[in-house]
Amino acid sequence: MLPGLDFIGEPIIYVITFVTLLSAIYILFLFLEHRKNFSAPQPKVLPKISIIIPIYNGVKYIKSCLKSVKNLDYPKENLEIIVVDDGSTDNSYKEAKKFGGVKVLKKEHSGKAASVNHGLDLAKGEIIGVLDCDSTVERDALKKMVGYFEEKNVAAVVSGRKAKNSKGLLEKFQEIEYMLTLFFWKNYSFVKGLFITPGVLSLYKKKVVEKVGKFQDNVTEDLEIALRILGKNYDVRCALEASTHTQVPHKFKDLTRQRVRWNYGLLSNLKDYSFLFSRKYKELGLFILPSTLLINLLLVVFFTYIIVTFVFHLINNMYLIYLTGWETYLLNLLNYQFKLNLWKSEFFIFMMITIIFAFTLMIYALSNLKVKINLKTLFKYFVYLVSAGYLYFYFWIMTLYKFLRKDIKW
Amino acid sequence: MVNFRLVATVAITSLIFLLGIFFGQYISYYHLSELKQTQEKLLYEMTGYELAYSILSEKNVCNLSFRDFIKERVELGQKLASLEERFGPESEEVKSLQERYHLYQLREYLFFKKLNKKCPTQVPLILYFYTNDCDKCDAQGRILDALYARNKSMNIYAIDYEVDNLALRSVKNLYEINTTPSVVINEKTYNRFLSFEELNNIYYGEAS
Repeated sequence: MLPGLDFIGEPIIYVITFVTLLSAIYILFLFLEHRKNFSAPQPKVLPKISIIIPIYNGVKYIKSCLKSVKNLDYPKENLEIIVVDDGSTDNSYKEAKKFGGVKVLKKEHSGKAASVNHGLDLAKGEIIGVLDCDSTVERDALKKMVGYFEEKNVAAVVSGRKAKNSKGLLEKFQEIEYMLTLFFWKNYSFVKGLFITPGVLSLYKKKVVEKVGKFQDNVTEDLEIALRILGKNYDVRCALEASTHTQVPHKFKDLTRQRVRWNYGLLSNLKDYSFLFSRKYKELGLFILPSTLLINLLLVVFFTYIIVTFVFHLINNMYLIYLTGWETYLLNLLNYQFKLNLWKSEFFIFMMITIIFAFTLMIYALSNLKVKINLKTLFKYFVYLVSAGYLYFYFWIMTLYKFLRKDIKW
Repeated sequence: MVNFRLVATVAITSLIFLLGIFFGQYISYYHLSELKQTQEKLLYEMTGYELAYSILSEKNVCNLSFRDFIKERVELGQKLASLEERFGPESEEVKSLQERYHLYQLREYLFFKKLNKKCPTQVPLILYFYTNDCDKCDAQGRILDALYARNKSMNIYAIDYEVDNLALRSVKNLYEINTTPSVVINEKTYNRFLSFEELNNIYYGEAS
């Protein structure tokens, strides 16, 4: 019979519970302290904005994207729309040109960063926006974002990015995920800790971008530029109320590819920006970035332990069945009396307390994101929380696999 | 420059953890003392029965029902097993409780042996010796459970081979137990692992 791994499992579970509880309490503190500051500041001026939409073979979605941008409630003379076709092989260029009222540039296929920079060179606005071609924006999005720039140090503003409503299980999962992530980002933004400006409508001060450097050709250029901005001591804010919607992968294979790319991007960019992990960057360096890394690491360790234990258990049980025979084995399962096991009662208490904190946090998140809190919603979010770990573990395993194969094509 | 929010977070989380640990320890020791009390109670009851055996005539003793008593003793064994899981087999308290429990089992075994000699209805008695790290012991235990599930009239006593005590050493010598798992069925020793079929044959073959 194979030995039990309890002596490894115990400290792992304690560390994980501790770190999870730590993170939950931290976010709760952040939230409670800043709960009055959740709404967008009213802009006193409406500066000139240039929205750059890089497109590569996105003919399917470009029309609805451009339609929503055209529909933005913003003075027309202060809004410039630039579509940059990154050498698409479909009719993206034609469709964009057909739309009218937007500037359309064409270039050879050289990647998203180069496309945005190309548009940047032409842009006349003092604020630059980057919008993915498969996303749509709400009418009032810009007015809800622009006000943040009036504070001197703010260099970028992130929109309230949500996943487009869809019927599939995978899409529903991502819908919930994007909501919870948004809540975390909003809280991080209060302490100069928002370290990513996703491509689904993020606004940047043009002067700052020119100062810190334009977009770089990177696996996750939206993460890279945000880290760069924070590194130069500027601030990134989150306009929770500025709703934008983006397409999310429908097929599991595509989702895996996307997440592996994100994982790889996270690790390589954090490595390049490791100087951020210091007291100089206050809560970003002391807590937010370290805890992000640590939680992912613990996730991998924990699920590896679970899988190994499960396999051991399986082998032991097979040996048992060999010795005792099926009848006896099943009989024992049926007769198993539920022992009121006081095994490690303190661990049980930690679990309960962590769950209570996490649950409280979730309720706050949902109410602030204006999500209806009913039994159905709670059930959906519960299912997400229970299953997310396994999925993310799988993505990390695939990331490791890809790294070991030295396969760097994206 | 110390960040108040971070310090407060770490402090509160650590506090919760410490409280949890203390509370957990408290509950464990509470159950340990509860177990000790139950053992004392059992000891008195056992002594009571033995005394009854001596005082009353043979006929009356054979009519007494021991079912509740046995059930309580079995529950005691289960509670002890869960305590062993919680504190680990090396804990001094658990070890001393285990030793006592085994002595009760032996006492009960001898009591029923005497009863079997005097009373018309026989109670089949099985002694089962195990160690904590032997491969086949878990399997043997389950097979015995399955046997019991089919026929609840028997008494099975599970003895930890490694518990060191004069009485237990004597029993091991008497039945020539030198390995685990070993089973003694109605005074006959089997120094090997018995499969379900084998056990069935022996048991029902023995029944007269």
